[in-house]
Amino acid sequence: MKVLFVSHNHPEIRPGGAEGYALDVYEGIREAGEFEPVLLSRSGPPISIGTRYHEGRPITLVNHDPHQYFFYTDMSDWDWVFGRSPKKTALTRFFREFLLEQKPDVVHFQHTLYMGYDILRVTRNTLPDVPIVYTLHEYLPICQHNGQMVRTMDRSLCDHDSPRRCHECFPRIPQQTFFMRKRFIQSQMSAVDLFVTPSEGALEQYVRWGIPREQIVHEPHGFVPARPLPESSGERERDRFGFFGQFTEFKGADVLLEAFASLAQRQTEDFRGRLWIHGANLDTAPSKFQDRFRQLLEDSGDRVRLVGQYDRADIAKLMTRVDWVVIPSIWWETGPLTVGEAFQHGRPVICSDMGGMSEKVTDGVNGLYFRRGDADELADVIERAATTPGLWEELRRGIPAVPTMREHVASLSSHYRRLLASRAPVPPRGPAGTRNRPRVRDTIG
Amino acid sequence: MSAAPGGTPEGTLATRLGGGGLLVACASGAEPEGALPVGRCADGRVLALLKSGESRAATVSAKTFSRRLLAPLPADERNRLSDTLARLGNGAALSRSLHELREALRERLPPHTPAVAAPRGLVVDSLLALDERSFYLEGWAVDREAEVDRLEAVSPEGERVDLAAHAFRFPLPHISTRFGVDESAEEARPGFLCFVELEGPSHLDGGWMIEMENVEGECLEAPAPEVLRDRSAARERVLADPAHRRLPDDELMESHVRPAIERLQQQAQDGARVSIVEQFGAAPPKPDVSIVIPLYKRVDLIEEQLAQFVLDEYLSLQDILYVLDSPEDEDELLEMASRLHPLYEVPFRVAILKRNSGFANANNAGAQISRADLLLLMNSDVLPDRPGWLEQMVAFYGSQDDIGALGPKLLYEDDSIQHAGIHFHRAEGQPVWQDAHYFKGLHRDFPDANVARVVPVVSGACMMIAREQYDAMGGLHSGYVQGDYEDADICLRMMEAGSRNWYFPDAELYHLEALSYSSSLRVPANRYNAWLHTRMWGDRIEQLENGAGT
Repeated sequence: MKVLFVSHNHPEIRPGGAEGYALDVYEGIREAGEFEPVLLSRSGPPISIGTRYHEGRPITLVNHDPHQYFFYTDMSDWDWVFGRSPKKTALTRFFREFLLEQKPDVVHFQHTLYMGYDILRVTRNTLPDVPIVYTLHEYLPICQHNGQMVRTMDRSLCDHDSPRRCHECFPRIPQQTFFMRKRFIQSQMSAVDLFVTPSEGALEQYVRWGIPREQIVHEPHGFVPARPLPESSGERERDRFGFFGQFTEFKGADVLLEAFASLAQRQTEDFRGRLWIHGANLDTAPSKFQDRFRQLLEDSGDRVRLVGQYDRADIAKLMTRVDWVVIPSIWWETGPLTVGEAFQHGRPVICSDMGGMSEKVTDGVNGLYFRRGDADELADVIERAATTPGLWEELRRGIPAVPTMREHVASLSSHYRRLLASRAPVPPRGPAGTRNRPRVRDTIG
Repeated sequence: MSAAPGGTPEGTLATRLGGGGLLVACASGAEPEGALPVGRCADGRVLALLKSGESRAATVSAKTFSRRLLAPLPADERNRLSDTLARLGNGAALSRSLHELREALRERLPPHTPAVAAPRGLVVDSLLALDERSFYLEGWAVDREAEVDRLEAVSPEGERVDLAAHAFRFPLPHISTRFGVDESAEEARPGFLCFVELEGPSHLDGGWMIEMENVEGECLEAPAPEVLRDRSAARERVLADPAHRRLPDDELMESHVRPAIERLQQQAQDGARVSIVEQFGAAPPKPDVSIVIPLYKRVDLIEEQLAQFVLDEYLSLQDILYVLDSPEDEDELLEMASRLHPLYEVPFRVAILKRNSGFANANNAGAQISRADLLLLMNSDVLPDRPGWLEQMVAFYGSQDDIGALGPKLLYEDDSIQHAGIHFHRAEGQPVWQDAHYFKGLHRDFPDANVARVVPVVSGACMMIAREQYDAMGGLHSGYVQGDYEDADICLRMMEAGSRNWYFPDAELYHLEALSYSSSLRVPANRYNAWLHTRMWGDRIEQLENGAGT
């Protein structure tokens, strides 16, 4: 049995949470041995430098692995509102050919970005009986604002879409367009048999948006077991903090820097906390954010060190160097992978008090909350964390076991099996659940 | 001298006209065979027109010919001759010759000058060609010293049109002030606009003149600007004219605006021919419905529709027909269609109109090549809410006797009602009836809006009608501008013919109103359409709204 994973990017080109996870799952499935995985990762500008592919075929190998491929798509006419390209040939010819050659038994999308939601329709047309699974990593299908569900005018959290509300966030896009956008995406998604979300909150959000509850499951991300590193020995203050993530306005690195800048001003006697900032992609953030980030970095003095981009292989080393992991995101966060990574390495988490963070972290048990976006309150929490004797040890004891990749892969495999067993035609449902069949399986030639 | 068949006799003088004709001066009785006498020259010779023929006569230029033989005629005879010649004109080449003759013949009047102290002024602001014989002039004429009793436009070919008797006059305070005319006086209406129809066609863009003369014999002339021949620009100009906004006037509308718009619309109708029909996917063998969807500019909307149609298997069995009414988008549409069909696999056809023809004509052209017994007129910005709607409409249509049009429930993107049947409303003190939508803006589940019932009119954004009946009605009326009252008009005509129009709430679709519509003309077009519709149906609507029933 073969499962094809389709991802919007490959860590080989540029790191990122969802793409890294896609590769981990691919490897996890291969190790489990029940399904033979194939990974197809979208490539091409603006993410990668190269557009070079074999004459007449936009598919190339990633490396020497015979089951990992790049799929080059042309982004020059990309429609950022509808999440599709007007050029359909990449899908209706080349992706279709790839499907017919690979003959997967299951197709599992980790993303459709830079390829188009209509890749789902092509998959359904080409392989009428093959189960289609789709992992929803963030809220892109719902929200034009980078799928973050944070409102553009005041960065407040948004909990539901409507043509009017979306138009308020993007006054230049008419509300009729937002209506059509949703209808278009839901039409394409009606080809999907099962949606997977990494958090309970995301599941509820998507059900509210229109995905039938029986077609969506919550599967927490699994983690590849980490090699344990020795803890530094002896009693000492637990006052080293770490940030791991992208430097985008939604991940809240600026909130954390502001907290440290304010701690630097307080000049509290017994606080000698330090902060290591790990992350990348400041260059692609809005320039206003970049300026603010650099200014705050300066203001917080020598207590803060900008480490920059890090290698996933070094995560254990970097995590062990700090005591606390801070996740100050201002958006919902669906999974946050960083919580799992922190817990794997025995690091309590200080995080915003909402969304995927409060779902995975329990205040006072294995972490500490602060009010979303509130740098002053975060400063208080950091000070308390660093200066309260025994708090770190207590919260560390409260850290639960992290789901392993093996468990996660076993869950996914059981979903695949269930879907394969129930391939009987399904009667038409409402817009989000309707499918168009029967269709004749085509062959190349 | 003897008449020579097919040629001019020796010794006569002739000038060659464009298009192969000859104007000949010859002795009485010596006219060449087939020549048409048009008048007399100053030296008494007969002036005759020969449509074509070899000249053995001495040929001179038109200018020389008219200077020598025609210029010495008295002014009134010259004008009469010029007028006669103008009526013979047909074809641009001949027009040019006639214009040269007219220029040589005509009496020159003092020109209008923008001098500050001038006692009178005369200006043509715009000159629109509606078809080859109909024109629309706008300008102003003012004389502070004496009443103007002659105001005439002269075509390049020399045909004269009396504006004094026909033009619609309106106040232009800044002109009255400039010429020191009391602007509050009843007669202070320097502005004029006029629909004119010539007896012969006029093809030249330049050369129109306007002349005026007051009761004391003082004259003035002014050249008109170049003729504007772009139909849509002309239509916009006629409809958006500030004069109507200030003066909603039946005489203006009936005698000038309406005939002008009708000439333009008539040309659109004549040009509404399908040049290409292309089938994407296999044509469904026995469609129940031909879905006719006019496209204007926003051809990208077809992907939005196909992405919904694909969810409803019944739609793949129907004759879906996109009719492109902006032929300049032909390549884009065909290219898009060939990309989209492999993706959605819903069969559809694309018909391209030879030229932009308007909403009614596009629908009518589509209906003509429809393959099913039932038509569904549908706008490109209408998206079904869920599968099943069309089958339900077909079943309902078949279940009713004497049904005319059938309209589903149409929704706005916020799930409120856009259409649940249409009636009419006239604001107090207003002359025109506007269409009014039942339950507009209320929630889609509002109980009273969920009852199938007979209504006066259903929306043309999504209207089912039997092809036979559509043809019997002659299709949509093409006199309205840009898609407005055509639906009301055909529904009322069907009602008059004894049919009933039904609203059917079980079928629900979204109508993203105004997405498929270019807006610059919207307000003026609506003003005209509402006026025209009231003119045609006001009495019947009055009966309806006063409870006479349908």
